[in-house]
Amino acid sequence: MARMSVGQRLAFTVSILAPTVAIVGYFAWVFSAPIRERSESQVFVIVLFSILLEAIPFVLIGALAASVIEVLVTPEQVERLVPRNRLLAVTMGAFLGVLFPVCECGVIPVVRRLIAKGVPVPVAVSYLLAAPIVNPVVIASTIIAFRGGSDRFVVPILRVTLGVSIAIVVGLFLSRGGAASLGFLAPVPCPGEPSRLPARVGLAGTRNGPDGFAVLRRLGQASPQGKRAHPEDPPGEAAWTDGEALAGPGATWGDKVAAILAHASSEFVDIGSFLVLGSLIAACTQTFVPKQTLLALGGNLPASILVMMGLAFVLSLCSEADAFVARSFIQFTTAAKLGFLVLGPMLDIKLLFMYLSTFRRRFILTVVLSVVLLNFVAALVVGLVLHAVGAR
Amino acid sequence: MCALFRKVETPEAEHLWEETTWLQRHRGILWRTAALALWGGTLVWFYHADRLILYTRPVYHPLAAGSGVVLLVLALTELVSLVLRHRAADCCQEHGGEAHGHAHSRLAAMALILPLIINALVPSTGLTSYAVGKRATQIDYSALASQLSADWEAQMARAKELSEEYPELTIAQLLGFASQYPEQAEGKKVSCIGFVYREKGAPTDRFLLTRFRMWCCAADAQPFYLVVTWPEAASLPADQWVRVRGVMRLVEGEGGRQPELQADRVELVKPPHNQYM
Repeated sequence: MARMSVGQRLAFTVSILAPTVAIVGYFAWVFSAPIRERSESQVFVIVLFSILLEAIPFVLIGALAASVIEVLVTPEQVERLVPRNRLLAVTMGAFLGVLFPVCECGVIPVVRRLIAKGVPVPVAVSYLLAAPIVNPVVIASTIIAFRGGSDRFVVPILRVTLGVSIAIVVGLFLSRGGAASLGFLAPVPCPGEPSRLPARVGLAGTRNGPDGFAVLRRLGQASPQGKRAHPEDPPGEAAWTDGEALAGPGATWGDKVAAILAHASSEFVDIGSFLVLGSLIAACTQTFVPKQTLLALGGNLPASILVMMGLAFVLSLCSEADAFVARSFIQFTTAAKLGFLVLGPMLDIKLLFMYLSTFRRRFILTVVLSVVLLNFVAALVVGLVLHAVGAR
Repeated sequence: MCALFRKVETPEAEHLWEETTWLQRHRGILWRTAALALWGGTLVWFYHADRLILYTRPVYHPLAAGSGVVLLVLALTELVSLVLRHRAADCCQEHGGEAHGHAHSRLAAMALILPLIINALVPSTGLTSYAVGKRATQIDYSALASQLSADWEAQMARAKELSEEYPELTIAQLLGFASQYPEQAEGKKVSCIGFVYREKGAPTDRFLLTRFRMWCCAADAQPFYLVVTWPEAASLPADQWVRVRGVMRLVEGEGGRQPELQADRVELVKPPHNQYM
């Protein structure tokens, strides 16, 4: 087909391709009717679409916010704002979600851009993990969901506390000893370039330093100076072109708005595709796996915590509503519910796929393992303390 | 840093440029525009046709509609930029590697369009008994009662004003009230809508009147059911929506007194526009 002219291709399409597709399509429609009308298919489609319809507006908001960051924020501004002290920087990252509230779906494009603009990876990850929990809407919905119960104070307070603590600890872990010691950073100097290991490796590194670029997937068309690193690299990959180059100091507001919209499109399609993949799997799980099977596994305290964490992962609910669902699991202890409520906004099938769109696999593995481990341990401690105090 | 970059073979890029037409060169953008436009259009159409109610709570609908509009704007922007770039004198030099570079964009756009195709192919009318079987868990109605009892009182007051013999309440309201004020619930005449769900091996003179409660989206919907006793229960097909008018009773069972509805009359109805409570 590559060698045909447009006219020839049109003729081919109209006379042969289109009728073939129509006939095959018709028979496929007729023969697939039994499958399409099955209850499983119906439930699957409703669940799939509901997850997507819920998440897409927030991913879009996140993509727009990320584009604004890409075009309007400079690395110099970032460098001025980030504290030098590790603990302070990571704590600031965790509480940034109060000032810039985002849903768990919308935070990923924003974090991608923040890292590209030089926000240290540990701070960005801390924001990523804590933002969906310290989001005022989420806190409010948690309070409302647990209204009138014996744990109506414990759950909201502990949810926020545990969420922020885990985010800070993961951030500190990522920044201790320099990121190079964790193995996922291996900046390879170009031949002729001196090797880069700046004094503050592991936290800020250099501006747009190796830390950020090493953990992000596919990032690389823009060098810190905003020029394309290799002339052959296509400029069309708008997601990775430095926005300042497109809308630099001389650009008008019209140019900036155009750049923001262009970035937002690519960002949305890029991350949205992973959202779709994750939602397909989450919908499958919800449609075909009965809840009772999962719940029956939760006998003792550790098992019940693991079961609830597993359920949070599998259900892929929004952080605005998962408190109500957690409340409904009356046969589980407060600690298990906390495991559900703290892990859900940080990690689930849908989020995992969106992480895959943005970060490298090894980095994701590190973060995921730390989050799961910390979550489990924290919930276990809470459970033991509550048990000792005599509460459930 | 160069180890992190994807290398594009120069000879191949040139070859691609020579062989491609306008359509192939701009495949990536066209697919992206299509994905954005289709989703934007779908969201706006669903909002206009009030079809969103099947999937998410009404409070999220304006947000979905707004997103649809934004997506359409983004699609338009992509089209405009495409036209402008095509007109620009040096467009051809710039787009040398575009056919290669946009392979990922194309796949992403196709993935995004996939759910729309699935949704068009499978007619979805609502969550059915199948979903009940997969999602049913023990529900703490007393926990919900505090949320629902305010609704209950308002509803009863309004029914008294209208002198309705069988005031209409939702299953959730009934269950919440019955768990909080069992003495008051006993003997009350009520009317309730739900669909028929029958457990395997259940007696033929009763069925479970079921309805899903949604907090955020259909993915978190939980089934609530009320036992209804009616001599002709076996004649009702599963998943059929019915309106039951009857008397509330509290019956001793395992786990304390369970609410039951002794039906005086059962009529078949069409599924309500909002299937969730």
